[in-house]
Amino acid sequence: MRLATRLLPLLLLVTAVFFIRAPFLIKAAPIESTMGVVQKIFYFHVPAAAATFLGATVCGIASILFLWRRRPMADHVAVSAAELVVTFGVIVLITGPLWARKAWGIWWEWRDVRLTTTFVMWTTFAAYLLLRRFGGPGSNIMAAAFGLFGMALVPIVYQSVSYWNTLHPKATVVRTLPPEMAGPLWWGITAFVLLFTALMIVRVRLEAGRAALEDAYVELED
Amino acid sequence: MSNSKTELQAQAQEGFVPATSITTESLPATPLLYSAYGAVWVILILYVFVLARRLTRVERDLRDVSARIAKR
Repeated sequence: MRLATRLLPLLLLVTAVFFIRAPFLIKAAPIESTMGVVQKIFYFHVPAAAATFLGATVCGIASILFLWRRRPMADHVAVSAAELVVTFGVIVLITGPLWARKAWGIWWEWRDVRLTTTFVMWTTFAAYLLLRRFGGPGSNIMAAAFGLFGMALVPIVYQSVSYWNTLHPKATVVRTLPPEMAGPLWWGITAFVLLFTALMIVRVRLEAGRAALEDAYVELED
Repeated sequence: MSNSKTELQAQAQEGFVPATSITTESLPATPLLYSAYGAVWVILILYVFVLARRLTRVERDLRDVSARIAKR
């Protein structure tokens, strides 16, 4: 954790460079033939979704470690990752409908499995945070089960476009992108993953600080 | 009309193709694109600001309580 905190300024600097350069790359990317300029939402909608999936996976793995070993650090990582899933998930759930409005003529379609499973995954992690906030003593164990369930939803959300008939573009779109479209997308994904890492370091530090503060108050009371 | 629209929708699901010429669009896309881009920046800046405030407060409280413990 100390090494991560020491590397944080450098990480933030690199992340800032990626985020400053991204709009120029998106502007230079070609306009898509069927959807037009609105398809450029793709260059930050997908990276935000990648960060959401990453957060859900980190939360799930940390939850397993916490249930197994009961290490406080695993719990700190799990709750931090869950908060980032909700934050990046909000970006996905706002930018998606803005794209859909133009591409499909509607803001939202509940019968679309990708959209619905994404929303269910987001609500799972929102429930995780609510449980941690209002659940009282022992809520971290029940929340860990939510974290596990949330992680299990990641492959379902990702593969939903392949198994069900949806309006949403298929996951194979990324593999078939021409280089002038793939470049800005991978730049954006790198930027969001770097930001996720930097925010995780700060958020875990906050959680560790909170735990230390609780211990200090107990010591003061004794 | 509906057939060609269905074909276009199917094409948009399978892969993205750069346009050779810019066509006229019925619903302006630029406000939607800028709204999405603005939402990303607003959410991220807001979260970073709130996170920094929470961290500052916890670290300040921890210093205060630690000082009180040390004084005893």
